[in-house]
Amino acid sequence: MFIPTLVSLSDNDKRLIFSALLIVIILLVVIALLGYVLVRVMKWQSKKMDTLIHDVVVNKIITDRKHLIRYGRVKNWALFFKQAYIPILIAIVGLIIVIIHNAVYNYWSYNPFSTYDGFGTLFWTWKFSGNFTGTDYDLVRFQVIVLDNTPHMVASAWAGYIAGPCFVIGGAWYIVAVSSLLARTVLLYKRSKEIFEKSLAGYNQSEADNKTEEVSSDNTTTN
Amino acid sequence: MGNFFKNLGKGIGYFFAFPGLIIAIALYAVVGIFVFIFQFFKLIFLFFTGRTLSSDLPEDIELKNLQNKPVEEEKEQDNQLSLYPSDSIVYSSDYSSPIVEEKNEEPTQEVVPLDVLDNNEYDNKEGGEN
Repeated sequence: MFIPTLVSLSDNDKRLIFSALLIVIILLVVIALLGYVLVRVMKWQSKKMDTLIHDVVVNKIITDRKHLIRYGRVKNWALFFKQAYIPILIAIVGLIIVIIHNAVYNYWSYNPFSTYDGFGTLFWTWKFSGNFTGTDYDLVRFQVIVLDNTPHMVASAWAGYIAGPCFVIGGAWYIVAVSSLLARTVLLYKRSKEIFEKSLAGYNQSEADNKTEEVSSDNTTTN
Repeated sequence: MGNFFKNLGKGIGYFFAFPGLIIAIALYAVVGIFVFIFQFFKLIFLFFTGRTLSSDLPEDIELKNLQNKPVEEEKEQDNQLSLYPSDSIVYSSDYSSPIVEEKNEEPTQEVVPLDVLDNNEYDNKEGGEN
């Protein structure tokens, strides 16, 4: 039913479909790359949990699963505190600057990422809500992408120039700390299962009984 | 080619796992803020009691005791069985002149009175000549 309509596509339609496919592929690649980076960071950070719990497990101070989870959780959150206080401090500095700006100009609806008087003025931005002047399509309504902003400096955006990077750096750093916390938690639960696991694979009770009998008979003969 | 499909599979896996991962991280981020604030106040309290967040868990104290125990035992053993004589020397801070012990060794040769020795020598000489 759809095949004749697909065959009768105009050049303009084909161009639109091609560009839509390209956008989807780029989106897929970006998401996959982000996921890959995040997973790599988590794998790297999860190794710290082994360092945290190694000594108490090897020296048999902790001998059951629940105890290990309780101990590991306390250590994990303490390490999270150590990792997260710097990004949180950076974000707090940004927040203080925005509050000072708002108090000075009495402008409490100020957006530090604004493209008019904020950090956004330093970037190219596009509007995706432009009006399409050509034919309307029933299935997909493509809208014109309009260039909204080119990089320029605005004096009144000084607070955005300081607070914006603070929020971005602090936020990214905090996400890394949180993902590490998550990775360590996952590894803690995994290790707690592995360490105290008792396996009966390959164990045969009758064979084991025979072995113990043989050993006891050898002992009696030697005595 | 196999490597390409492996990477492609991984990419698709990451694509589908990504939303779940983002939700989990977002939840942890929100919980993390509250825990951070709680730990901040706990740290202030612990600071005034001379402790830190992670250093004095009962398990860590037990571990420290366990790790220090063998060293102390070894030291005790060393004190009991000193193999080196230098270990037993006790140095005193006061200067004192060295004590020289008098030697009361018995003479190895038999002591003969001088007169007797001279006469004997003389007799030997005369006898030898004769």
